[in-house]
Amino acid sequence: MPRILACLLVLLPLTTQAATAQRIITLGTSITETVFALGEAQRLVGRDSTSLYPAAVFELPDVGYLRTLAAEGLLSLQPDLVIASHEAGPPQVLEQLRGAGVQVEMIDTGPTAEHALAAMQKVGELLGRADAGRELAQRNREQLAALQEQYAGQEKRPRVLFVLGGHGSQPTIGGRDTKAATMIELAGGENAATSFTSYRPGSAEALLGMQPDVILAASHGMEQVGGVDQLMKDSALALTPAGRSGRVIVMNSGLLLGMGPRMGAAATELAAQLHGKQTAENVQ
Amino acid sequence: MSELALRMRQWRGLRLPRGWLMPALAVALLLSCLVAIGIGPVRLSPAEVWSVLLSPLSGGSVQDQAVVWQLRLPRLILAVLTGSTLALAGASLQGLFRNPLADPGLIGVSSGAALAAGSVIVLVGVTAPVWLLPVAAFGGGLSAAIIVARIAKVGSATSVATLLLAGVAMTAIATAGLGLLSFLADDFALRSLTFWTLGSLGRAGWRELVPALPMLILAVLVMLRMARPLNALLLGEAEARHLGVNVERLKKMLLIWSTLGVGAAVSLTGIIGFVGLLVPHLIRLITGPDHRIVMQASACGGALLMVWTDAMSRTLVAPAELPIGIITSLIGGPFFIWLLIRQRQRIVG
Repeated sequence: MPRILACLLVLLPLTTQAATAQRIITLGTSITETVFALGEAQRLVGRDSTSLYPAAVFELPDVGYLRTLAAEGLLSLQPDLVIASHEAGPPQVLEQLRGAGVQVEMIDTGPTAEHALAAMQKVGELLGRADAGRELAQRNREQLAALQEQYAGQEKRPRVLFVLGGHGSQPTIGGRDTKAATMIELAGGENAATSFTSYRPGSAEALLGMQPDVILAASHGMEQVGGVDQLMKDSALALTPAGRSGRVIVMNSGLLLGMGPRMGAAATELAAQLHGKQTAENVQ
Repeated sequence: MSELALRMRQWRGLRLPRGWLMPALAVALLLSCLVAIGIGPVRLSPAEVWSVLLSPLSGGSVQDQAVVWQLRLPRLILAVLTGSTLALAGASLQGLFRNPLADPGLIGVSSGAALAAGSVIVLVGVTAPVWLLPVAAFGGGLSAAIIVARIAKVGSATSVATLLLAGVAMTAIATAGLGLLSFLADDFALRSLTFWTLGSLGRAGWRELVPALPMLILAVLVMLRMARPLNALLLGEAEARHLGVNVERLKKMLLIWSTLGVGAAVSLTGIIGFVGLLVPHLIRLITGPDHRIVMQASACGGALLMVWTDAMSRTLVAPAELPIGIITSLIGGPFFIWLLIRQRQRIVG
């Protein structure tokens, strides 16, 4: 603990320097979204290719995929602060940026709600808007707490299978330690795919074995496979309880998996669809 | 190959006199380096670049200093050495196999490196220390090439035909391994893996470049010295032996140094296609098959190609960066088709 405090003390002057940063690049969708939500978008000079919300991000230069950044490209935007998800890289490039005198701040954007809430606060601090950041996190925390209260006593949670997209007969589904799993749990559901981590293709038998009551599909993935109906037709999903009862929820991928400032709203919306008497017809 | 070489020789008269090629290439390379160091998404005038280069401690702002000294200079050096090494390894292996389709990837180096790098990206992921990826890639490339060479060794002699086939088999195994890895990979790792296999010079700073430098420079120098015995080998192994060439030693040296060179290059840049295939062919078209010129000119030509494709890679989609392997293959593919069509016409005509 003293060591952490010492680190914080060392970081203090940096943070105050960051607070005045006027040319900021954000790497990671939730970070970019948070800067917008805090009303500080005018200080942004660039974003990575995964930052797709809100629509105004498209006016900012795209520095490419956040795992394959190019140091000189970022430097050409003359940033004084780069706020990056821990997924950003390669690490050499981030070091090169630091070497060029740019302040680079990494934020752990892991797949839990705690990560997301801490990230919102951290972005607020870095922008010199600590109060606003805390407020944003608090608002989300309250939304999540309300959901938990509502569904805590529930005996049987609906088993939800998240489908990211992928090819017809073997759709890519969300396992443990994913943002999809977190969102399902926050919304009072139970992730049906627990035998593996991250997003993996699921075979027909595996899908049947998971016995999902509800299928949760990402909107952009559904565009790829030609719609939910096509997906059900092509895969064994049609034979699962969810398929037989037609309980399919399609949600905007950025909203569902962004886990930024809209996390609480997204979980609330998902919960409403999950626990209301939803069928394939009246969703979307 | 020798028939091809003869035919190429007949065309020589239409082109630049041979004596001019090397000086021309060397001057072009030097000029290109001077120009390319001024090209990039950060706009710096030639005057600014030179003031930073000539006074490393005082010229320009901190950012200009970093751009020129920490980004562009190591990158330029890497481009020159990687281009030379890949082109020389291509020329050496084409000579060794007496097969115009030989490519540094053929003896398993690139695929072994890719498999090892892929394992790090997928199985270790973001938590991997920075040095692990290049070290693993180098080790993977080296091991694959050693296995291939072992398989092809009969007694004290190395069978060139077996070497070729073992290389193909090794590549098939590594490709299957990569397929398995991409099946296991999550979205993030998959994209990183794809980008690695498309190559980039942007990952290497001094810290990564310096340990690889001796290997790359030595590989270039050693391969350049193999020009004369390679000429003898063009006649056939038995004939070369009669001319006093120690053929087994030649094979061994070529395999070792092309492997070390390509391994070191690939470990820093990822896979960069077509340079090893394209450049020696282009040079042979101009000069004929004499390795004394082909090797030197390939080294220069490879460097020249890399310097310019890298300049394109960092500017075309700025502030993002286009993987350099896409550019080299996009230029290499059509060129190769053109080469094939020309060759066909010549054989028919």
